[in-house]
Amino acid sequence: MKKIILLAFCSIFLTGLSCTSTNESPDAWNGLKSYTGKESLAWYAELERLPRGESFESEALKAMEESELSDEAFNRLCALLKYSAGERSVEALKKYLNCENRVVSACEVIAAVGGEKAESALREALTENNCAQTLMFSLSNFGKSEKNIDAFESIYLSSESPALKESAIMALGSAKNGKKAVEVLCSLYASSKDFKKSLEWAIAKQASNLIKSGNADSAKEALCKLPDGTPCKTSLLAKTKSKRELSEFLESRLLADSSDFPEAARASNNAFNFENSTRLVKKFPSASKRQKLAFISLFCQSGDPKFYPTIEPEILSSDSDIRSEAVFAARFLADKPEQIEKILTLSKSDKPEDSEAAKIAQKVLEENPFPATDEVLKKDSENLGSLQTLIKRGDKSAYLKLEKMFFDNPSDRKIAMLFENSITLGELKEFLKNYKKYDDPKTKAAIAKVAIKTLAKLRSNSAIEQCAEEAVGDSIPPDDKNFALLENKLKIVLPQGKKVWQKEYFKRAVSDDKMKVAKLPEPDLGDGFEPIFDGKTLKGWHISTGNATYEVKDGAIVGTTDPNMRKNSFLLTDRKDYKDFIFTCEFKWIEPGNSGVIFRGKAMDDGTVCGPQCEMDDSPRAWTGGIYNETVKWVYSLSREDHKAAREAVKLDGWNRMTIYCVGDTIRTWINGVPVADLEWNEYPKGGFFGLQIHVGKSGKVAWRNIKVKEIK
Amino acid sequence: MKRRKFLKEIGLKASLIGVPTIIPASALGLGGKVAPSERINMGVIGLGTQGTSNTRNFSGDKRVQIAALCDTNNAEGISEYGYKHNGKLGLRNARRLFGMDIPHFTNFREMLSEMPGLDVLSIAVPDHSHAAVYLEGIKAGKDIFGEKPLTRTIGEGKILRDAVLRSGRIWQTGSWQRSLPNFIHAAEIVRNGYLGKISRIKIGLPANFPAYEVSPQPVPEGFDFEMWQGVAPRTFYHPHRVFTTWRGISMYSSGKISDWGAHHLDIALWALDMSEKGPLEIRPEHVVWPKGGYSDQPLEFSVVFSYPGGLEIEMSNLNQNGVEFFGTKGRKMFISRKTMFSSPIGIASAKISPSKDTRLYPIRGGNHFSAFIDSILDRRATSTDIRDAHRSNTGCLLGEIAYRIGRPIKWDPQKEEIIEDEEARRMCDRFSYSAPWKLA
Repeated sequence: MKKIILLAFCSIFLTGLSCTSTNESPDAWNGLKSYTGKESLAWYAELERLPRGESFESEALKAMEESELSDEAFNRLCALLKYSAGERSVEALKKYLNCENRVVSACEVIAAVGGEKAESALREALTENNCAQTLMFSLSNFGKSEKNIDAFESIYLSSESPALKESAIMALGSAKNGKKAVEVLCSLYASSKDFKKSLEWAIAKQASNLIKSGNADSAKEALCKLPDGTPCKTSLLAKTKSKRELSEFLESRLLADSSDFPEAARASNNAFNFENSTRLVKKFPSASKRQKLAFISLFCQSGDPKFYPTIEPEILSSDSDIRSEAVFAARFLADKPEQIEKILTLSKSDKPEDSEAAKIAQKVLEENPFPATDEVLKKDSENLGSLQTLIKRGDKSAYLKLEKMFFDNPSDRKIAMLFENSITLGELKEFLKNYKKYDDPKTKAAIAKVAIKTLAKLRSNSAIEQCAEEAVGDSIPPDDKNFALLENKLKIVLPQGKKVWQKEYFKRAVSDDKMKVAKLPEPDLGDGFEPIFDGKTLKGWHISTGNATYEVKDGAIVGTTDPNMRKNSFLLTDRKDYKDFIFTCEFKWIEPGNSGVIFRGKAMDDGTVCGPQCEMDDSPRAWTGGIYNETVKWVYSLSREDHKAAREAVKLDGWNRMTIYCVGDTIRTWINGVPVADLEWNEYPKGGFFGLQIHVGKSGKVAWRNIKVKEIK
Repeated sequence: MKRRKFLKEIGLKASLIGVPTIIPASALGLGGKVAPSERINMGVIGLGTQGTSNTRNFSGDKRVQIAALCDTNNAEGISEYGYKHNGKLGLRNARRLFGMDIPHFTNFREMLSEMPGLDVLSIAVPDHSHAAVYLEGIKAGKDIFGEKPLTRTIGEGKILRDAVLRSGRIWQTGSWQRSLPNFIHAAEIVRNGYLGKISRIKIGLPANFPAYEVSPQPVPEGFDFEMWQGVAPRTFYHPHRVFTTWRGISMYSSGKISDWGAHHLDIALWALDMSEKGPLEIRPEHVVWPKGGYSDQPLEFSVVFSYPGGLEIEMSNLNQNGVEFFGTKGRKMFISRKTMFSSPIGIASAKISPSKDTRLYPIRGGNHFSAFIDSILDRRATSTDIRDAHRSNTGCLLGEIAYRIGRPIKWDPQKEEIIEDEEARRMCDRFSYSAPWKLA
């Protein structure tokens, strides 16, 4: 008692000393030393993050040596020391190997280090005490030396505790030196009366290791000493045989109706040789029930249709087990149309005694991989059940047939339900394209119902929305009542028609309250205008950036884009001081593509053109006449609800008239006389050139004519 | 040729042949009613959240008789649970649910020795005791339904896999996503190249439990804490350490990476048939550790696995929960428990043709639990092969090692060893157990 108090005192003193010498995380090491299992574990988390290696090892060993750690602290420290330990740790931890509360952790560290030194340390500590079980387990787990086996044997022989004896057997069973361990185990098995079961298990375990390392002969020898019926004996014996021997072995077990056949069969693991199987085929009709089931499984495994005629009579067997197995075998073996026909008849049977077999038969029809099945089902495709099976097998023509049946008679619930079950999401998109073809409201409702049922199978709302958007597209118009039905039933909101486009551009649009609606009429275009294009040549114009081509044709300037062009191209006026003016021109698209007219434009040093642009937009969003600050952002977009008239003013297939009124800070535009933009804006250059834009893109060919300007002084 | 391949794919890996050893009475024409003597006797070990739910599923099957219950928690009224609990867990609750007259135990070894008539064990214990409990069950000659993740360390996984294969017992892992039709369909779509060549997979997992400060508390009466700690080092008791939130402690579990990785990584590897071919390298991309508290799992993590053929699998708790496959030409498909969709939309719902495409599903359909009972009756392989379960668990645990060690590690999938990194190698194994626990 006195000693302990003295030690504790010393340790407190030493703890104080060691603090000064600890460089990293002194708090954490102190936390370790004072830990008794009740305090916070913050120190542990901190130590865990320290770099591992020699320095950690020395710190940890120092802590162990200098202070009296609690068992709790010791065990936790060992869990970390495991990764940094070297031979020094083996020396230091030796003394804890007889301490019941610490031996597990100490073993863990020593075993992690490994090597002869570690093994001998554990062997030396191995005596008959409470730590022996742990020590033996560790030794058998990592030890490589033959001396371990002697140590285990002596413990088994000398000890009287059954638990210890059993542990010694387990250790012998998992020791690394299989050959020697097996010898020892076999001699123990022959001599001792107790622990027979454990010894059998251990011998089987070592035999399996021997087989793995290529010592099949010694494994065989050991296994033969075990009585029949020992778990694993047959399967391990089978593994010691060559492929040819294995087939014979299996066949003999099978023909003899031996009880360990299933085990032998599992062990043969797909290695049965079917070349000489005539004996099995001959025996089959007279075999017992158990044998018959095994035969069928074996034939299934071969995947060879030549065995099916042997099995086939059994699909009408009176024994329901054999019958089920035989029908099931058709999935792998039946490849002739007449065989499939029998299965088909069985699947249609509605007799109560056939119910189980009919279910399996249906599955066989769905999954049998041979073309004969398709052939038979196609012949029978007037039958709805067969048609459905064909569709499940992935037959496109069967699907199209069902689709036609559906459209011929949309009110037939039976066909409709079958169709709902058969259609996939990919097919739904194609299917919905038919929606506009039919005027009959009943057909329309039936089509929408199919869409709802198919989409509802997705369950997750986000997935339904995503797939519905893609599948419906613009097949069902947003103002149709079925569109609303779709939204209601699926509890989603679909984008409506053109809004698909609007939505994409919406983030670029100007917010409604920043734009006033244009109402003023177009100014008089009669007097005072001067043409800036002579109708014959490009005199007074030049090209800025890009590779677009501009030419004069039939009194108009025609610009064509170059698909490889990287930068927008402009045809600019030579004059660069147009300030306050009314501008008008006519334009038309020859090939679709974005375009526009720049006014009060300026060119940057690299030729990039900027300035306000009156947009010419042939995409579905139709923002023609809106003002875009070239290279920057929209300043007047046609995204307001009441811009509908302005969006509809432009004609994509003929000449349009564009008029721009630009005086001071006021900019107004008209397309074909319809007021479009009305903007007060002062962030742009107050004077500049006009430019005809050809946008980057795959295509784009635009013509301008009657380009005139009236300057206002 | 095609047929051979087809047969191989559907799970002949383990065994197709076998003979029913137990004939269900329903098959003998008793009209669905099964006499108790003819039913499969099931022993249940572990009756926490998952164990109770599994048992509920099994007890709905007429072919199964719940014959014994076992849990370390036989206490009444432990009210302070770790995470979102209504307080209804443990042995007492299970007895009320499944029958007060069922034999019950707090020590599973007692259950195994006193009830030799059990055919099957359904085991749902904390991760750290998985290997030891499963191995004792296998050694006792039982078929086992074992919860995922397979084991706490890679070394245990190897031992368990070898023992299960050697014993020839029927094994099913609780990775039930393999029996969900939409996951099977997704895996078949990927396997048959509907998305082209897969170059990248993004896996999203839930986040680890947040950390709280905890202090030692007395062990409640009726709770066998010693048994609960199992093979792990001994420490103090606090309800937050024990009920569900034990996943926050690295001593017991590797956290969500293997908890959910055993579902999602498993599906990804199954779809690509890659489980035994990798990973080759594991790269930690991002990790955030909690400061203090009882949890030592990362708050955020992201790990990238390299597989042969340039495939990269990214696993992170920052992604959306599910598996996203990226194929050629911008094709992609997302699959989770709730939904499945693809771009373009046709792919996700494409029909798999039996004559042209490879099928993956187990031979008999049905839900995960009834499929297990089917397999027990006719001794066929289950949909969750122990080899695949071990490999997907290995992947998750390598991810854990990589983010703990903070540098990329290399893995040899043939030898199942870490290449040239002593520190990482030591993290792959547990070398000593607290007696009387051992890897039988």
